[in-house]
Amino acid sequence: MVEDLQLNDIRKLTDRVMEKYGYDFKDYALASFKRRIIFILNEQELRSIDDLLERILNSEKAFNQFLSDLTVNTTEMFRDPEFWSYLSKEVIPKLKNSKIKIWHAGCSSGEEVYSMAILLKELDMLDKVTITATDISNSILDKAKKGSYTLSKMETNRKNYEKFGGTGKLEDYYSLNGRIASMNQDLLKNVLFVEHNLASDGNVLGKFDIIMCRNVMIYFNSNLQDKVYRLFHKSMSSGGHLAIGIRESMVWSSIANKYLCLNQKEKVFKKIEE
Amino acid sequence: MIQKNYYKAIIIGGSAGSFPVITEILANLPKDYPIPIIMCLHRLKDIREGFSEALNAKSAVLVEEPYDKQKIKGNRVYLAPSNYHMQIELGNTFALSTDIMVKHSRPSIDVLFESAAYNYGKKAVGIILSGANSDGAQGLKTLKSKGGFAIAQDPEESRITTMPKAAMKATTVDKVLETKDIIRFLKKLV
Ligand SMILES: C[S@@+](CC[C@H](N)C(=O)[O-])C[C@H]1O[C@@H](n2cnc3c(N)ncnc32)[C@H](O)[C@@H]1O
Repeated sequence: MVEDLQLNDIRKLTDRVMEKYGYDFKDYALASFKRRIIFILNEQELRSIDDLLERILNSEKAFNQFLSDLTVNTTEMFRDPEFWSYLSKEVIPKLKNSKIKIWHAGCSSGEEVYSMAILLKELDMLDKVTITATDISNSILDKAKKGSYTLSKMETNRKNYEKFGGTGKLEDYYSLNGRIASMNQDLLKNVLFVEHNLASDGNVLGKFDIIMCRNVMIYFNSNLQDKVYRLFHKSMSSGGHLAIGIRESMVWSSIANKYLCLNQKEKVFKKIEE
Repeated sequence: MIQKNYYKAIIIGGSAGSFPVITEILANLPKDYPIPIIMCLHRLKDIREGFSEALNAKSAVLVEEPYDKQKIKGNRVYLAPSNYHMQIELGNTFALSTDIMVKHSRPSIDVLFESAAYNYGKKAVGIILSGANSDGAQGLKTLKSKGGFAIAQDPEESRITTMPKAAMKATTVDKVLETKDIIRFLKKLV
């Protein structure tokens, strides 16, 4: 069992991964990053960073597996139901443009995207909206596209949906095959899934009216966080909205004074200055 | 020998039966208690609010649920927010995470205690209170192995003894204390 790692071991890993594959992990927040690596080492019964490097530098398949194990992918539909109620009552109905663009940055296995599509459908706005959903990991994006979730996950999702105040039943939006729920694919008709790395892809994907980046930047150090905030700022339409996780704070970021906090509890901000 | 003004943080883990113990401890510490008190208490995931308010009503020291990257300071009690793991990051800030549950818990006491052990080493005090599972035992063991000071609530007094007993089995604790003696101990640290 590996119980702890030295800082220079972690540096070695991030440097070699950067050299070989171009993924930049050096600005990930240390505590969680270290826990993930220790978890991977122990699960694969590896004894050191060198053993891990040997495995992932010699096989792209092993690296892809590493990539998806390294990032924290836990998510739920309508996670923080009050946040979604707020969005559905106070934010989205007030968007008056004829076309609305939404970006989910770090969409993980898609639950957040399906939640948004359901919310829009219930507001009868699904056809007005195009959604770009991005994540660093291609294998997680494949899961998102498929939209197949276990029944035990659907139980959590259902409870959240009810607290959110959905107008129908969550069952209306999926079909059951055995113990797997498959989300209705028509929810995705205006959704584009794109592989995108917030740590290195500085290119603007478009101008968005809503950018959601919830529980993603908690895994970054403040340096990288600020870089991502600036990217969001550049990618935000004027008067656009930014939503971050409910235990995140943007007061320390360099763009904070260009945003108005619309809801301190649910962490929704509005761009008021270019 | 307990050294005064030596410890950088007091880390507390508790579960079923620990709420009255926590409130009694907080009710008996002065408002300006200088060492940060960092707590992970199991609670129902669905109950997002009300918990820190309930503690604040009893506590002289201000209780808050930290944000990610918030700086850790004295004169404060910090409570792990619902549905997030809470860790101590290099540079004495909080790092939150939504990573998978550990021993069916998020927040997990083990996760908090281990990160405190690595960041505070000898300068951490860890206290495990009443609870119905073994979360915290591994964490207290790590904290102790890094030179920290380990305390378990006296099982004689604990409403549910599983958690303090598991901690006492996992490591040799420095003290087994009843609530009133935990309070006395904490006051002696400053
Ligand atoms: C905990 S999930 C958040 C899911 C969802 N937004 C929510 O709040 O439930 C974090 C996601 O961020 C992704 N991620 C991590 N680093 C990233 C990066 N550099 N660029 C893009 N996505 C990243 C991970 O792959 C993971 O799917």
